[in-house]
Amino acid sequence: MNASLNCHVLVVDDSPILRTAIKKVVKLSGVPEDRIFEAGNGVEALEILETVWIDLVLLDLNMPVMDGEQFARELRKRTDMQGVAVVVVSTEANRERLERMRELGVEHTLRKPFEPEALCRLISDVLGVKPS
Amino acid sequence: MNHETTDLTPNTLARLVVDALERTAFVLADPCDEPEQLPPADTFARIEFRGPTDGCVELLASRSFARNLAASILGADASDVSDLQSEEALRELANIVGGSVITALGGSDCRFSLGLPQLGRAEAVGDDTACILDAEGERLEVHCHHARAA
Repeated sequence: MNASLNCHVLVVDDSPILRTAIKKVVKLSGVPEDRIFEAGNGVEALEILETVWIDLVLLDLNMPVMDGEQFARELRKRTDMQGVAVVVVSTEANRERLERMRELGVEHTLRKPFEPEALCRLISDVLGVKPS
Repeated sequence: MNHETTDLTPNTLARLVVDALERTAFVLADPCDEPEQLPPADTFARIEFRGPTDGCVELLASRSFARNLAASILGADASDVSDLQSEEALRELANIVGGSVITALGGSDCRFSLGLPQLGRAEAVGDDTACILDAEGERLEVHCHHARAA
């Protein structure tokens, strides 16, 4: 769909099958496969962020071990990870929880179910406005 | 601020499920008038929700429905899909339908929260809103068990 994007994306979702589907869409957005990483919960995501530079995290909220809100809270404490963009990709509908995510600096939310094109557009928008 | 919930009709539930299937997996489904013609349900997933009313969304599907769903999500051939992937797909569909249901019940000021999707049958409590869909010849039955809105 797009020319190759020089960025790294982390997909965080406890559903392996959804991670696979989301990774396909990210690849369609132009991100090379070897720059797409995945984690099954917030703890695994933080471990990856400690070892790999990530530009964008696609974050589910309802996950075991460490959920998406706990992860975002932890991420904002890390001074070396302040530049990481986060997009919520979740079934979450609770208004108060989504407001708390915005307070944590998470500006974009994509509700499941979504069309692949919507995720492609969002990835391009978020990465497009990101300073190089 | 209005914290009331909206009642869920079988038609609304069916529309939410059809939309979830189309968007998530490009699987087409329609409400079924002759459910006895469909294969029996033998794969089950559920997700609980809490909020102004507590409840549960339950999916009952034929094994082939779950397999076809997984194949569509993965972009794979159904014969290459494992039982684990089939169950995982149905569990994720429960998650997605659960999210749509609480949005329909709660509206723009949604106070509902979802639990984690699980495999297996739900404990049926409260009112039951249900629909049976014919998904390309396979059975998908969806129930929403919940206390009636005040």
